[in-house]
Amino acid sequence: MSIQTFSSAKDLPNDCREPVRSLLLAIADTKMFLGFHYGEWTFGTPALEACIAACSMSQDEFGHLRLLHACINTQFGDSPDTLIEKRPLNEFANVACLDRPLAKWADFVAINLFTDGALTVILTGLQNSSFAPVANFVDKMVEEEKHHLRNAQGWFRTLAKYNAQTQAALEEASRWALSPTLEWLGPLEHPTMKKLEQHGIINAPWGILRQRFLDWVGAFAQEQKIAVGIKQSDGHWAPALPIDFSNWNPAVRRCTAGQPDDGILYHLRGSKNDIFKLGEHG
Amino acid sequence: MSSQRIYEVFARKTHEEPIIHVGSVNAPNDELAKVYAWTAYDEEKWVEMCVVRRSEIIPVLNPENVPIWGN
Repeated sequence: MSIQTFSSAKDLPNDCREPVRSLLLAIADTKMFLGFHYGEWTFGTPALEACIAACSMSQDEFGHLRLLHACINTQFGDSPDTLIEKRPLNEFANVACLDRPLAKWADFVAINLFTDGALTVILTGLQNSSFAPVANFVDKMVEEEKHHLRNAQGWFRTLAKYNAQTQAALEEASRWALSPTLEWLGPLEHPTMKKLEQHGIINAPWGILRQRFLDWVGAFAQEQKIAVGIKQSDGHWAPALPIDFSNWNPAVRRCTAGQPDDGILYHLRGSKNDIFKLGEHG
Repeated sequence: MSSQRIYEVFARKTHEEPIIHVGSVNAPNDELAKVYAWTAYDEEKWVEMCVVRRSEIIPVLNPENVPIWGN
């Protein structure tokens, strides 16, 4: 079966336009918060080289955010100003573990592996997308994300083996990050994601992409002997405690109400330097 | 962390140029050494980059235990 390609959002089928916008926004929001946390951890890393890597990953995430915002603006008419400055906090669709400042280095490693990793699996699902504006930039993102995952895996292996204290901290952080990440990924099947699959926006059913992520992190964590709250059955990994998606809201990708910390938005919006913001002149 | 190793970083900008030593990084394992080399020495658009554990380098000429490269 040949899949139709869509050169712009106005060519998308009506029932698919909002699901595409929502997904791009959720990826952009998560990248914005990942970029903030990586950037904040430029200071306080356990090694100088780790600080350079954190800073570099932050730059990557903000670069990706710019690409996504440009696409959302051109295709759907939501300006970056609206998306960052004027949106109520409870409309942000980031993974919930990014809502607040990270307490410890193990938390950084956990969001780097699980949250950034989940996002990358979804980005691979957008490769060769029928929606051309996304297909045009997603390969570059996936390529840059490989370094993020290498960093995450390298640190995960290091902390898993170093001593009992780092191992315990890693286990706790992993559970803390993985659960909201799975919540953000959503249920195996959902009408919103079904539309994306039907129209070739994503290259595989959502449930397959979600399972691909679970199987990857499940096998990796097991190899490092870190229990992260998922278990293997019939050759596949699944949450040890099933997630109740009955109240899942596809707009913010959460099961319960929640929102990012006002203080983080204060920094992301540059509120402290409000008087220096240069308006646009024609 | 105490289990850090020193890795020497080599790279080249074009396939026609010889690979050159561009610096070093401290890392606890090969995987992180690759990330750190990539992020710390990203000032050029390298076509090739590799890291070598300093301890694996066999000196041919190394007078009076002076390090082959500083750190």
